[in-house]
Amino acid sequence: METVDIKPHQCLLDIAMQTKGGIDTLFAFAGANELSITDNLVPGKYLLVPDVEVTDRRVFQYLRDNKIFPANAFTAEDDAAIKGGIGYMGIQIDFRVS
Amino acid sequence: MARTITEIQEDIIGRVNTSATLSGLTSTSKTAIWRMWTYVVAVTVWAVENLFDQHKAEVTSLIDERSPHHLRWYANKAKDFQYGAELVQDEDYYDNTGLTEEQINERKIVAFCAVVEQTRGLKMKVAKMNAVDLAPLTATELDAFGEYMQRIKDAGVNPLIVESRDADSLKLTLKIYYNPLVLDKDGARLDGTDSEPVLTCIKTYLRNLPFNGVFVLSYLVDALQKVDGVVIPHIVQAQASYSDVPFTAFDVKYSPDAGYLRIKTPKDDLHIEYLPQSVII
Repeated sequence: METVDIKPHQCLLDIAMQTKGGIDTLFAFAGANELSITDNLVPGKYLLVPDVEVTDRRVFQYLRDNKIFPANAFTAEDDAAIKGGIGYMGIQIDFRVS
Repeated sequence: MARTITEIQEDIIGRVNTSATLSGLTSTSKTAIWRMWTYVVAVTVWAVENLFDQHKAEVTSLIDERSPHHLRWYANKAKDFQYGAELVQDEDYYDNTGLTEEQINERKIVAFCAVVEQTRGLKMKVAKMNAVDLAPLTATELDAFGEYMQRIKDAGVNPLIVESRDADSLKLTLKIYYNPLVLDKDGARLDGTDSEPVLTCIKTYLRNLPFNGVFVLSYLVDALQKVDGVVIPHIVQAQASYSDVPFTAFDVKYSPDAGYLRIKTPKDDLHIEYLPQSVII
């Protein structure tokens, strides 16, 4: 089965969009890789690409021709890094209580 | 079955358009904020529908694997048999991808099935439909069906006897007291609409009996009673036979060996004596 590398900040929706042109194949991806649709992906690893049709050839072609890799995974850490401030700090992570 | 994202979104937009409260949402732009929201909601609904589908499939497979098979399971499986198709490897179902509903139904030849538990093993009686009436499966069809059942049956069900016989024969001797204003001495309707209303009634009754159902004489009398012009239907004698067994008389009820019974040659098997009788009040 074909595989695809996971780039940083990519989620399953991005991978579906990148390889099949639409998110309709999301569940096929989740099934093929035994993942939940909201699981965090590990950059550098690879995913199996299910054997299903490309859902939107135009999008697929556009992304490929322009070498665009959608990466929309947004984690709680990303959020904290952007916003910062005490409301986003974690006890024993950003400061210690002694 | 989950709908596609587009279907769900169109449904939402359709509802927005009919809502008086949301009549301000008129932009037709694909990237109008309200349209984007309908897309977001559609995707969530789509995800939930898909998850439910998967959940259902998972639960169904758990039930299929764990529930013990009852007689009804055998009967349902018999009706799922598709003549001329191969089962999915190591499974008890067919791969019907690319086939239309009609094509699948054409392959399903078993129309009726009755499963009887015996001291040892099970006996399955099956019949198919030809144009209008029940008919036994041909030898080739029965071989294929037998092989199918052998493959999917539970371990330990031994022997599993599969049979499809020609209908049991029924022989009746009747005395019909008829109303001379409606019927003539041969039982034909005077208005000419039906030359054998009694025979028609018996045939319909036998055809409507449930498969493997019991044939009860007094129920037939009830049916005959409803024929216009019949005043008193009296069954003098009833006999039945299956395969090569000679005709045997029965009094009250008869359970057909093949699962169904018919009057095969009305000329020889149905003797009716018609006696005029004015209507009894």
